Amino acid sequence: MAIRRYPSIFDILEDVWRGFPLTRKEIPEADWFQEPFEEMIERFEEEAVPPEFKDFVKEEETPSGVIRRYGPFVYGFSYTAEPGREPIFREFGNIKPSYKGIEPSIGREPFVDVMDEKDKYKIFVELPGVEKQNVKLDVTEDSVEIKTEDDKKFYKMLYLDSAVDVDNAKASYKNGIMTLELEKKGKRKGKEVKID
Amino acid sequence: MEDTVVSPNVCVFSDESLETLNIQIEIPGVEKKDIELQFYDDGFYLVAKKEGTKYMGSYALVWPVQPNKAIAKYADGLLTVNVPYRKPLEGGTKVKID
Repeated sequence: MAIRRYPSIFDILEDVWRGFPLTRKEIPEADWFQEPFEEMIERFEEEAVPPEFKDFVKEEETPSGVIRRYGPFVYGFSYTAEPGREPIFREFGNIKPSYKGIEPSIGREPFVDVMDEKDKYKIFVELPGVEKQNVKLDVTEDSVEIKTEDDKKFYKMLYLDSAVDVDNAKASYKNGIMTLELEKKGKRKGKEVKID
Repeated sequence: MEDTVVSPNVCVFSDESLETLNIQIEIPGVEKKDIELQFYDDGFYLVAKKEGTKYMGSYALVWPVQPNKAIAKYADGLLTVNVPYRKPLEGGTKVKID
């Protein structure tokens, strides 16, 4: 088989996150995808498997000893660029590459639409297949954490530009779409005092 | 305004015994009554409408199924269809001998 040369997806993402322009690394095909996994598996064979990776390692007893199986690992990303809008990077899979190496991902990233209105945020989150009671929302003044405790795992952390009123947050869920309304904290409400 | 046509996220897989084909289609926001699913023995076709968006797609299968035995459920934006595969020699037509 001819050896093709590709930069690794991990290299590309790392470069993007670090803010460097894309550098095309010339790595033989045999290395570019396997290397991060091989490194990780080597690490696991030396040390104990960290608890967050437990789901990826299966041990099987055979007459010749214990066999370890790793995986399946799933990772992918999509990139959408529309004229006049910021490009969107979305990741999916059960692992995510980071500057530390491979980390398990908590859930798939759901599709989120944030509408920044004058006095409130309207946030739409697509969580198909998740039952209402399994959607966990954690709203703070400047962030929203969306997590599902269903068979279908979704996870998303959203950061908001302006502070919101946590106590007046309203959420509804219908047909797999969650709508969240957050009122922005207005300017200090005061009363003009007349000076006698 | 015309609806935006979108291809839904579709996951098609066999069960472990390789007897049933499982299909999961993500169409968040669509009401049950607005889903139109046509099944054939070698593929299926879906149209699901919601405000401003139309999910559409046609999909081919690798092995024929028995569409009359398909069971479809819809809950929380996820359409699940379970349909048994056709057995190798099933569905033949009896030929009348003159």
